[in-house]
Amino acid sequence: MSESQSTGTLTSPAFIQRLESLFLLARRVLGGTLQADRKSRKKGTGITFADYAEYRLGDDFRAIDWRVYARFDQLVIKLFELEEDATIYLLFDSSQSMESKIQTAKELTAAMAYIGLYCLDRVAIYGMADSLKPLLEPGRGKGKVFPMLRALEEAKTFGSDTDFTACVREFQARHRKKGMVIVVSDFLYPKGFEGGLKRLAGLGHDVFAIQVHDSADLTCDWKGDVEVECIETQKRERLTVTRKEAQAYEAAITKWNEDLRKECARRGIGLAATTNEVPFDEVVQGILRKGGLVA
Amino acid sequence: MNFLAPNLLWGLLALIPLSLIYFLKVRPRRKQTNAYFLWEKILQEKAASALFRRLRDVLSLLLIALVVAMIVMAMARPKVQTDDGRDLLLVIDQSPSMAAGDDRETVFEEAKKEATNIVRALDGSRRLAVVGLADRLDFASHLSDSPKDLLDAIEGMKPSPVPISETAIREVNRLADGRDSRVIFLTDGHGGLGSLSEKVETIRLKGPTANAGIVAADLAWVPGKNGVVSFFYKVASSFPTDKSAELILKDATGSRILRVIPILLQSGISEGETIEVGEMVAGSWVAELEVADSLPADNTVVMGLNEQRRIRVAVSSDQPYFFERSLEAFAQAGGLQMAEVESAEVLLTDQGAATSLQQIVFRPEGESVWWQDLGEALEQPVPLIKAEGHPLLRHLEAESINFSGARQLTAPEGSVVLVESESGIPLLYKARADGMEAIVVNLDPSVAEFFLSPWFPVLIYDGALNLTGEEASLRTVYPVGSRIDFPGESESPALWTNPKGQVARTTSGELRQTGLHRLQLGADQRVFGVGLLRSEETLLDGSGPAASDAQLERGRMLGWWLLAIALVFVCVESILYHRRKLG
Repeated sequence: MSESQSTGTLTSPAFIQRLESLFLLARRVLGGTLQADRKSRKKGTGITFADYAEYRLGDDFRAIDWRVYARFDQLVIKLFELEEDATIYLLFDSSQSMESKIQTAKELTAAMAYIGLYCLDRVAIYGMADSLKPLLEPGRGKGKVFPMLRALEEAKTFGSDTDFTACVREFQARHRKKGMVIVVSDFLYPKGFEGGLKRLAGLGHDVFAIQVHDSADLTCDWKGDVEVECIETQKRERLTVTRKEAQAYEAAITKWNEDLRKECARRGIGLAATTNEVPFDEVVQGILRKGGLVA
Repeated sequence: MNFLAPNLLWGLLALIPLSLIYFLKVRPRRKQTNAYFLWEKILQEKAASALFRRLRDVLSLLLIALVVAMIVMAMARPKVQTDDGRDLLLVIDQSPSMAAGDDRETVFEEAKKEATNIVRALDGSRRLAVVGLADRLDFASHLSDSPKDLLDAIEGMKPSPVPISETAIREVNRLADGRDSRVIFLTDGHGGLGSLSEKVETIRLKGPTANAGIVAADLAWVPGKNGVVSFFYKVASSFPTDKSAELILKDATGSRILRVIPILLQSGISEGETIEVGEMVAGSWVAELEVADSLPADNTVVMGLNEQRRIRVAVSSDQPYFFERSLEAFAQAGGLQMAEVESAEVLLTDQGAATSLQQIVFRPEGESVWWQDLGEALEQPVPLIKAEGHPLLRHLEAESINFSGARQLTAPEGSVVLVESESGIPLLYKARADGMEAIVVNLDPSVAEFFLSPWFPVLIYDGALNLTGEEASLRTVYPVGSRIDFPGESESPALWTNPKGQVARTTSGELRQTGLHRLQLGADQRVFGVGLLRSEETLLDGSGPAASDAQLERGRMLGWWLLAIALVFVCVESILYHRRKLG
């Protein structure tokens, strides 16, 4: 369990100090300038050479590398890394099912938002359940850090269900501008995660998924007669759990997570999975050391 | 079916709170989950077993309700309704043949089991007495409805070494005649049950049949052969086929085997056989039939061989010829011995003189302490027996004796008149005077030609035995259950020691212990044996009364079965409970 969870606050100096450490690590790993400080995979009009591309009709003449033409008699253009004023959208799962792991989710969301704000990106945070609930309106700059932390600190679970697709649809309606979308959730959506991820990826966003599990969700240690109650809908069903049922459940949730992994890989969506028992900064460090929020 | 303790059926009301508690107990624990939709998928796959799951709770409740109901009913002591409320007398055959059996179980143990089953089945629903039957009826338990008391009584019963007597059978028949009770007789059918009443309901126990045993045995000194003894024996067999065996004659310690006699055991009772055995001495001897059979008790017979006893008899007569010839004849047979007056024990006289000896006096004459008021001779007195059954008359037909020459006289006070004339004149009597006894024969042997009568030697021999107290001479072996008179005077009874070491001073005894018995008669020690010696106990041939169609509850009581079924239900419910609680 993370330290901030034990203190119960995201605005404590200790927590902010840990965020600062993560930002420094991000700077060292990602590099860049103050403005539009986040590298992008997109090739554009920046100043850092990235690659060559074959000239096609309509390309900017100024980008043609005449030296290459002289040597190889072939028209190619130089590509530069795009340094853009990116917007980071954090979709923070605030449904009832996140109750047991909300603190870890908050910490991860806070870390991502903190790094984004310190990189002068625009950051917006939305709570997500059966509908989308703005927690932090899009904003830029370090001055937004404390409002962001307070907003997350005060965020509570809501809704009676989780409808990821509906939330993405609502998000789409709110923001046409492309950016980076980070979804922090357990991805245990009764209606599935495929529709939402497909829509997000289809909108041209850079999508990244951070899956937060409660360790208790991954195994089944119940025995005998139980009345299973849905934490969100309060639906109940009586069931006798034998070893067979326990194994079936564990197989089902493993398959669910595996399907998520495959879906993300298929759509070029980065995925990091963790549990509520792993400190958030370890998770973030792991993401950064793998090269950032890339698939 | 009704109940012996119906009040306890109120316990069925416990089902109401039990049902409430049950539903509280089986209410499952509520578990919240973040992945309910995954559980829904699993539930859909388990839809087929959902019905069983729902029924399982009902089934569990039903089982628990049945368990409680059965326990309550068992406590209420159910019993099968019957119109026959009579008391039961459970008579168990204790005769020696009931000890027959194999290594696992004897017939008697089987009978006890059967009796136990009956007691358990009745479960106190009616009164029952447990009775052992051998030579007498032995109530192990009087009428009781307490199963524990009855079972304890049955447990404590043992086979008797004594066979069933006619007296005991009559007693059983008398009980069976009563209207208030039924007599149930558990028996192997052997042991002389021919006079058993049909009212006695017989349960025949099937025991082993392969058996053989000694049914008669004796040892006797051979007259005229010093130290030579004849051994007489009879065996019986109920083996289905002929079987070879050996009969061994040995001393009681087993250290000296005198004879090994090969025997072919044939079905039934064999002819008696006598063989001479030399160089035997007085003491205890054992005849043992070596054969593997069902009843060991009849394979061994202990015999007591005593020293030859000869009574020294002197003759004092003017005409001693016939007296002496008679004595010589008995001397050859070994019973009496001619002696001088000084060393004699008994004086045979026709002179009536008072001596210091026991006397057999013929022809009263003159003054004597043995008679009074001696008068004229009687004319053809007709003898009338006055003391029927007296030992002296045992072998004597006194009414056929010619008492010619008898004289009028009066027997001394205290005399026992055995035979008298129709006018009341004592003709044969036993008188006592000065510590001595005399048998007075009031006739003139010459006139009555008594010397030529067959009763003459009989009277002399029996008189000598009677006067010396040897009348009750011992045989070497008696069948168990016999009642015998011991030798000796009633004033100084014999000291009797049975095989168990129990000592009694008595003139007679009932022989209930097999083995060697000892008698102390003054300084004289004698022995005799007691054995089974009953062919009806040895021949286990399945004869005897047929089994009756006795309608009787047997086996475990109804309540026991209810508890057993309840236990099974508890086990089933435990499995269901385990599944509910632990998967």
